[in-house]
Amino acid sequence: MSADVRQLALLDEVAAAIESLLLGGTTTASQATQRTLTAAFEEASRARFLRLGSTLRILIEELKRLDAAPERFSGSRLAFFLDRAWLLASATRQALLAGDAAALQRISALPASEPVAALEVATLGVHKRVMPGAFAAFEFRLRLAAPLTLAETALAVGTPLLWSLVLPLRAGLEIPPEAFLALPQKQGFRPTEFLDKRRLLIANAQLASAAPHRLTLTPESRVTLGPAVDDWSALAGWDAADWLARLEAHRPDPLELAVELASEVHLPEWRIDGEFAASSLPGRELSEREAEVQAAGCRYRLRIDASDSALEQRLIAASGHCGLIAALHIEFGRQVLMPLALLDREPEYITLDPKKFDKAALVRALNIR
Amino acid sequence: MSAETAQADALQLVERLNALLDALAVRGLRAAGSEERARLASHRDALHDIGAAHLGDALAQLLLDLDAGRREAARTLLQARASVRVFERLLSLRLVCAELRRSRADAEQT
Repeated sequence: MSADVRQLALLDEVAAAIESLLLGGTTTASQATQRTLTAAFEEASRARFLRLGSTLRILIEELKRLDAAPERFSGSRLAFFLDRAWLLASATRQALLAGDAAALQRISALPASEPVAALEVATLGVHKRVMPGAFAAFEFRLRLAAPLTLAETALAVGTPLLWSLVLPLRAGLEIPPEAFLALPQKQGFRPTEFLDKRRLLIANAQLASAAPHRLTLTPESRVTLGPAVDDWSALAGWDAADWLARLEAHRPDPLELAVELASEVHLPEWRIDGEFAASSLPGRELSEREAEVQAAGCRYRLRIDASDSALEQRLIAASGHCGLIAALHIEFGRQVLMPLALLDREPEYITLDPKKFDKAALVRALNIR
Repeated sequence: MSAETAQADALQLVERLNALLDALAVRGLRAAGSEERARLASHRDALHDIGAAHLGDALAQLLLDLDAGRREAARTLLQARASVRVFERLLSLRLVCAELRRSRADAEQT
């Protein structure tokens, strides 16, 4: 593999643009710099430097936000993605010059997917992220409900999978983004079927071969509702010893995201200790709220979006009464929980707005889109 | 002072340093005035005090580049931030692993 001169020039241009931004400051970021980054994003995507491309896209959005919506601009988020883009560009350049195909694959590409003829899953919880006026992302946290062999690897019942659905949102939307989950997808199913608390039989899909096993639906995919799940606790099983072993074996690198070293935890007994308050992390005081949680002899930070007061109230009411399903990662010396569902006999998808929506408003929103 | 207390204190130092470096990144290195440089120097010394010499040296180089008005200051900042990030991850892993081991030991005793 020889280094492509054009690709090296692209990577040098990205690094130089970021260094210029850091020297002059983002408030004086010239239109020329933004055009350079936009052109680099397009070129990186064409060259299949996917992680660099997606990082540049986020960077460009944050720079635009500085002018268009300064109240939503985050200096710490911008600085993070400046670092990340520069590191990705530099690491990619080194891999190209060294002819290291394995390193290049690791740095630039998303994990490979394998075709799956049929699999059976159930939805344990949902992570929701909303950027008003931009998008709503729903990440369905699934568990295998039947064993599966994927690329000669046996995946057991209870293996975590995830399916993401990203919906564009226009500004001034009158209805909750959850309303769009009722709309049929091109494969003919409605995403709300993933919330029916039954097994889902999925045919003709693709699944990432390495964890996190990301499920991709193709135009040929089919989703069918199956029988009810007998034992949700068995599907939700979590091994604290495994989590500790992973953490002890982990060797951090500057490119990793905190949420990439993660697990999905089931805490049958947990309680909030104190009250929710604004995040203490710089740059997140307005966007996140956190509370201390005691469970299984450990202390955790339970983190939610600051705008989701209904979720906060629901968690306060549930504390000490039923199980909690959450995404778990570590950050600044703490284990951080992001709630996905409550679990009693079956999951309650508390991250989703349960209110009935006005169907006329949905139709209006669709007509305007 | 226990190792865990020292690690927790080091993490708080990293949080404050990150906030300072974020502000520098947004305002621009050329706008770094005497107050920012004094705070960088204070963090440089604190990092050396806790044994994080590699990070302390990175901030020392950044200060030299800023004082000399060198363009390389941007690259030095980016390299320093990468080192800070790995340092935070290492400290976080150690603290959380210690807590998990302790809770397992407590559970086995009861």
